[in-house]
Amino acid sequence: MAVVEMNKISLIGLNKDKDNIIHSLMKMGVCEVIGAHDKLSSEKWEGLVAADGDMEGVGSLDADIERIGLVLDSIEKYHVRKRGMFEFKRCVARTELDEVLNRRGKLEELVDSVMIYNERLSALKAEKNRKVSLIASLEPWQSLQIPLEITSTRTCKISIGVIPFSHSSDAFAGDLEGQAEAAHVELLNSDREQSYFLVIYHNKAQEAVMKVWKNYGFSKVVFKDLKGTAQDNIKEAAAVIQSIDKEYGEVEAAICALESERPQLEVLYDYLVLQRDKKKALGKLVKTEKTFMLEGWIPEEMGEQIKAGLEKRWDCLINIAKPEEGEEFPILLSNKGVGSAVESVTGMYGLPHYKEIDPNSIMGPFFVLFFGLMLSDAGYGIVMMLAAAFMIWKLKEGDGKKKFFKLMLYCGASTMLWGALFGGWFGIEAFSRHPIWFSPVEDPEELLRWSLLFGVIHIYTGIGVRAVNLIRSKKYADIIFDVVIWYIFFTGFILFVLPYTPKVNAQEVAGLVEAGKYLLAAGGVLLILTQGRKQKNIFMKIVSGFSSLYDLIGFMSDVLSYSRLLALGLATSVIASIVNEMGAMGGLDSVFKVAGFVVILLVGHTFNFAINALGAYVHASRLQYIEFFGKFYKGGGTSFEPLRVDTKYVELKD
Amino acid sequence: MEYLFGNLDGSIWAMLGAAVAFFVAGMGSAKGVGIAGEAGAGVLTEDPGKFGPVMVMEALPSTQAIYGFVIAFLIIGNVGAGITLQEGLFLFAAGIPVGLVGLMSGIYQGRVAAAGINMIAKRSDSMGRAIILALMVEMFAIIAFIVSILMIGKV
Repeated sequence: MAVVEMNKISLIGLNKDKDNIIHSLMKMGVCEVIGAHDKLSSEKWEGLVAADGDMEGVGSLDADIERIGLVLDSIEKYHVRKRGMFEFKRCVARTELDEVLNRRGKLEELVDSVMIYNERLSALKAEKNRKVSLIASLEPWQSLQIPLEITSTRTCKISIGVIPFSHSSDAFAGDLEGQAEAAHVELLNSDREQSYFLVIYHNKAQEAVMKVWKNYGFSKVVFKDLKGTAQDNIKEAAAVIQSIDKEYGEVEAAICALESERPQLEVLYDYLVLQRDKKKALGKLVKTEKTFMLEGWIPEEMGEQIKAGLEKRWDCLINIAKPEEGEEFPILLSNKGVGSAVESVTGMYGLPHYKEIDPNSIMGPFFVLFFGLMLSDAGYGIVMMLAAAFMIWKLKEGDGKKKFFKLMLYCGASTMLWGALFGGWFGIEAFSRHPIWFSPVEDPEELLRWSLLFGVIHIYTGIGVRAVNLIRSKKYADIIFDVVIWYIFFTGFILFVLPYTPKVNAQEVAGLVEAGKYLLAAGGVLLILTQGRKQKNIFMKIVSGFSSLYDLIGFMSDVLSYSRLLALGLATSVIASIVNEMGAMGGLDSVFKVAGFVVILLVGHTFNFAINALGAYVHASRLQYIEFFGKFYKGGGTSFEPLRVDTKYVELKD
Repeated sequence: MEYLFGNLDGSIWAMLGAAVAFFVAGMGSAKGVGIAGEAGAGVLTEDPGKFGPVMVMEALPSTQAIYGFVIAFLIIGNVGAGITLQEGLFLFAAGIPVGLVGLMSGIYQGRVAAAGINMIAKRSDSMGRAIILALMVEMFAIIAFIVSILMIGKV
């Protein structure tokens, strides 16, 4: 129901039991080990203990893990296998692990070979790219029959080059032939950017030729290190590409063939991960010659159980203590029902501070309510519930995704409820004409005022939680100043503006408005008197007192922000009915038309559901983060990261 | 001018309102989703695993077009044979808020979403914050949408 209280555990044990104790803590997964190295520099402990651990070992394990991970990724990449939608971790018995460890040398060789394969693949890729770009640069010269390495004869120069397309190629050829005697100009090719020329001229005409070249922006093209005609070179490069492709395929196949080794590699990977995590934990301990000491956080209610369990099996000394006043402990949340389902929503914002109340159980119902109101189609709600229930049934216990689908189950139920109230059943008109409550499309103002009312309730709850937090930190006077007065002030304001809200008869509420005036005035005066109490200077006291009145604007915009409940709800139902209308537009008098109708309905409703469910989710979250959390939530806790068995592919059994 | 105001009934004005509501807001969303999508593609080349969060961020600026679409639909639903000039002008006016505000809000939300995508690229845990920043811009489109709805309700 709340932030779990943490206790500090200190354990002193014998070095010979160290590995086993760490291993059993890891399997229990309830203890976050804290670095005890600050002891090394404290006066009381200095000289008594030394740092434990083997950081080099951790580093080399990390390197191994990374290499095996890369290999597994490349097998995954090249070996296309069918994956089920639900893949669970395979259970691996001790015997299999032993077998894998016996073959470790062989597996390491495999890893090395895959690394070499990968290098080869990237080299081949680079080589192929080079050849492809060579072909691209040679292609325009295909019709040139003179080998590329021949650039001159005894009396002539042979040049190839390009002029920009902006110059006329005919003019270029004409000029060149006119100015230089016996020059041979041949247009070989042209594309959108440039024209490709072969120019042969006598050595004597060099200067004249240069001049024309300059006028036309001719740039000479030289292919270094190439022999033979352009066409020959292209053929050659193409042949090389073909052989590269072949070799690439062979290397890929070689990697694919390692698929049979994948299970063992996965076991090795996870085994190494465990070893590394253990070593890392060891690095946080301090030791003497014969003993070691571990410090960590454990949930309060597990304390005695862990202590008894460890002391029974090993000779060790365990002390469990409450955190010191003001000492921050890591945050673990424990909620039931809706509260636990929305933990991920709070998690996206940030965990609560250790002294704060866990907001999940309070905010859960609001989240679900708002989500349903924004999607508000009973048909979509039912589909959502079915899908979520299926996923919950399929997923294993302890899977993090399970909580998300639990939330979707609640949200689906709420969507169904609101949809039924508003007559939304896949946007079918026959239903929407007879809603249980009222139809928002017909009467948006009615829903607008309900939305604002929900907003006021939500915000008031938020201010109420602020009071609870103040009680927890024993600031009782502040409850009057920071909670009660605001209630008076805001309530006064709400009553005062009642006549301006939609569908309210001004005459009927005249009495309330009168009362509101007094409340507003009283609240305002009290705020001016009290909100500056933390300022020292009398002038600043007055200024902050007055400026606190400005929060009224904030309150107003917060309440108006809930109008999105109406907006998103309307969007869903209107689009749903548009989809139906579009589907039926062509008529239903032939098989094809019926098929088209079904396709349009499926695609349309899927789209509408997807975009609006996403909208409902993010907007429901936003209302919690800004309008609700803004009233009381400080956040900034660090999450509880216990030492635990955190494998990726398999579950290792003892 | 006289012809426009004198000889026609209101339906042409109402249709113009529907057109403004959708096409202006739709342009905003198109631009916004485009901006966010470009940023997203850049991030995905580096880290294809972030497809989920990037897709959510890219989809955020598409809501303006949806609001415009809904308003256009509601306006078209109000267009009948005997609609007067005044009613037509009312409906035309009703299309303007969601259209124009949707345009600006869509573009700027796209820019914030693109920045948010870059944020997610650097720190995967910043998704919540990125969404909140983008939703701040959406608020104005939502209010405009409600104003448009209330205006249609008065016809």
